[in-house]
Amino acid sequence: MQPIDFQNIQSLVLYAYKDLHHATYLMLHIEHPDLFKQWLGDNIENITTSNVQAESTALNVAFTAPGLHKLNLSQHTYQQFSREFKEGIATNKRSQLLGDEGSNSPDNWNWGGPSTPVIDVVLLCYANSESALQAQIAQISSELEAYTTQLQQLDTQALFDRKEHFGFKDGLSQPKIAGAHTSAKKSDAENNKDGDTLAPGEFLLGQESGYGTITPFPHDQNHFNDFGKDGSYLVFRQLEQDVKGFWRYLDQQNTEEDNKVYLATKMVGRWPNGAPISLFPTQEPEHLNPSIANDFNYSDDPQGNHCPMASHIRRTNPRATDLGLSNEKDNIASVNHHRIMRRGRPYGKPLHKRLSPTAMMKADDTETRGLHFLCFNADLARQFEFIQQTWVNNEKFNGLYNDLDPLLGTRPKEHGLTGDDFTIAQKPMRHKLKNIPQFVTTKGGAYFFMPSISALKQLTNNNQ
Amino acid sequence: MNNTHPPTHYPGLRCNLLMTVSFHRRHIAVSIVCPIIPANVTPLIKYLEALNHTLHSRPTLEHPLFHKIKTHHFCRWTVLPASTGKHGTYPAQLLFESNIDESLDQYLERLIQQDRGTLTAIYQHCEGFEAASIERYLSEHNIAAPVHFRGAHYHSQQQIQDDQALYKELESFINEKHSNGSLINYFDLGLKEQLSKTLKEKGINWPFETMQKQPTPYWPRLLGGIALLPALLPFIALPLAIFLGAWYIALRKHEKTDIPEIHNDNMAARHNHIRHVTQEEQQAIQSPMTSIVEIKPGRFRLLTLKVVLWAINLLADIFYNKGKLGSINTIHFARWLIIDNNKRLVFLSNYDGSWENYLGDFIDRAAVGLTAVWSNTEGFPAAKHLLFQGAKNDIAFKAYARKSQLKTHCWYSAYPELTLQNILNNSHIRQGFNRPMNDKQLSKWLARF
Repeated sequence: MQPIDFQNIQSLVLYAYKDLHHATYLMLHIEHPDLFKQWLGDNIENITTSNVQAESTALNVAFTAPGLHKLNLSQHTYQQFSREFKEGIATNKRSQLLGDEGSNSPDNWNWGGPSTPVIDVVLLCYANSESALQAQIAQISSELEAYTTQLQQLDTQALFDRKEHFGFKDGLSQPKIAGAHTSAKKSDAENNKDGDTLAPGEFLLGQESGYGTITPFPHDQNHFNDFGKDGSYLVFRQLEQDVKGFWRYLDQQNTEEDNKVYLATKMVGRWPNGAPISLFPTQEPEHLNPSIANDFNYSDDPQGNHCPMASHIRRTNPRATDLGLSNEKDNIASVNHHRIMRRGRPYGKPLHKRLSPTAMMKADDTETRGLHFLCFNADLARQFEFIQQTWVNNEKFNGLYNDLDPLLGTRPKEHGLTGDDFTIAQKPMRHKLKNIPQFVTTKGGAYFFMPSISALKQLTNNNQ
Repeated sequence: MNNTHPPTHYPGLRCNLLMTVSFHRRHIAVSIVCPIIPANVTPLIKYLEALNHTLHSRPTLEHPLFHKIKTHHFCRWTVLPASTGKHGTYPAQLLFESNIDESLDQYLERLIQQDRGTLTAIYQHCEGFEAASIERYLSEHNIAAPVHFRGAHYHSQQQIQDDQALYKELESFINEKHSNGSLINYFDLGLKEQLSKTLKEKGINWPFETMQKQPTPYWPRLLGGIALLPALLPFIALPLAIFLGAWYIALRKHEKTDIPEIHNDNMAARHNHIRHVTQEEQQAIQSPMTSIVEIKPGRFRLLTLKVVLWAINLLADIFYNKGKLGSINTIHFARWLIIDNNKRLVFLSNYDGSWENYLGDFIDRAAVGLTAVWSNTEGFPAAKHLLFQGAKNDIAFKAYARKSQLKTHCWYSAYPELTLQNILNNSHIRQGFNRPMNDKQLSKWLARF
């Protein structure tokens, strides 16, 4: 395996900037490609790479297919980008696969849809203080004002205790990349004790993937410029959350306060503080020891008596769940072909400051809130789209009958099954929540490519 | 909503001996391949696509040729377009695939009786077709399928529909008892007894009277083979060893000299092709896959392919007969066909879930078998010792699979809302009513609802 070229890789692919609590995403339309290229060339030094620890601010950049096209990437190189990336996230076919139908339809999106202006670039800005972020944005905006139109400024909002808006601790499970997140001092077996370490080619183009083959990367005819190498595909979706609707629904399902949170926990697969229900089946522990947050793989719970098959975290990463293969190792290996590196952050004011379920059941406001869902992967079809299509937006996931993802499902569906059940396995017989409404609505989306530093240099130098 | 099946009546005549026998019939593969009059290819595709649109856009429609036939599971009419490959020029042909519960003759007669009009409208596009002798025409163009994989052995369409209706009935009973909080009262009485009682009170007796025919066990044949082997060995050992040795040497020579296709040229054309073939894919829970490839030239490859297909069919029949092909549990029906004078290999499949999942399963769970088959065809990634590498090269294998895929023009499923896992689960629920259980079995059975 070739070593990871840290200084060539934009830092966000490998690191989440956990200490930079403030972030804003700028969606741009390029008006003057040559001038924009010049700006980019002048600012390459300011793009944060993964060999440095970002202390106060960080900046990363990614392009949509129209954006790359506009910057004069050669046809040969451009054509080798994946079909999914070139077509974009908002085609009719893709919308059907991803569940972007009905109220989720790109026709209704704030950005990235067929009726909104074409997005070429996203600049991802991070800072350790609000003032530093504002200063960064102000400078970039003033410099770019003359060559680009700023279509969206998407702000984020760090919530209490790293939770997301429904009130659950988020971002607890993340794959590790061999050679980047692992220790060189340990053996491969030691590094991959939990089966969570993946080959770099799962996230970086031109590297070895979990299958042992090299992830395809766009390049010119003679491999003179390996443009795609060390780059990664970035999925960006704005997911609006109906927090009030979520807790009201649960409020109606049970009279006992504790049971409402318990049902929500069954839907998520973790207690509000992040404790996995697989390890704490009956009660939320007072404190979650972070070292055991991922100390489970469902192999002891084949029927989902602890963590329901249909729950959000089980179906988005089934770990060792028996998906037809008989042994645990094969199940994990098979599931690991479909992982993503999540980089999302919440936006909007929380419904309750400390996200207390009891308070949220009674709270009321008209604010909009949600998650800017971002994730990296090297094969959109095999990773992000697979999870969304085969596991999330599939009422038949692993033997189920009519259960879409309880959090993300598009309900009711326009045709076919309703998908609005949630089956809670228990002894002696399951309980079923029925008529679950939709809690999350897609409000925008795009596929980006985050190039390596050397690719950015190629892009700014070509003036054909 | 439209997810409820039309109410299935539970007829007392289910105890009728004849009916019971027909339920346990082995599924039969129908594969009718007819040449199309060249000028008629485009109109035929248009006709089939319009028919497909009618089938899928009107959920309440009961088409006589599809919904009214209670003896087929999945069927498709699709055009294999005229093409020129490395080893020949192939005319446009119409392929009809069906998976049925009765004999071919009975089935054809039933189709003609139900909807001679639509059949004639389809087949009038084909060479040598005469409306007056439609049955003979179809029957003469039926070809054998060297491999026919079936997910739910000995489950007729009617049985699958009835099992689902039974599941629904029990489900709504359980939901009702759950929501009024009375399910707890039944625990002591015994849940299974309660469910049985409920069915009987409603006059639903057939589950108790239906005996499920089990797939053929492999032990007798295997034991027979083992017993026979020592007796025969002295006579066949030497010739067999010589033959296998020669075959292996020839195989390695072929494998070393075959030039695998490079799949990253002309990406724009490849991507356009995929866009075209995937238009109708994955509209729902199940999808069809139609793919066609040229067999590598020469008798060696053809013979190897035929032996491999024979072996896979045998395994599918006696070993992989409980719903899993290897560990793939999403295939309702699949088959390989050899057409065009032994020059091309067709693969037809009716599967659950996404294409990515299906192909991923091929790589993770069935690479050996698929490599053994497809390494005898053009464009497949390089294989070693017939069984290895090949499909394990994920990028090249997926590119090969997409390139060889054709658009399926008209496709029908008799139970579009059921996965194979659902079908087998429903069947286990039904069979459970006829079976005494210990506590462990009972707990597993109750978890099926």
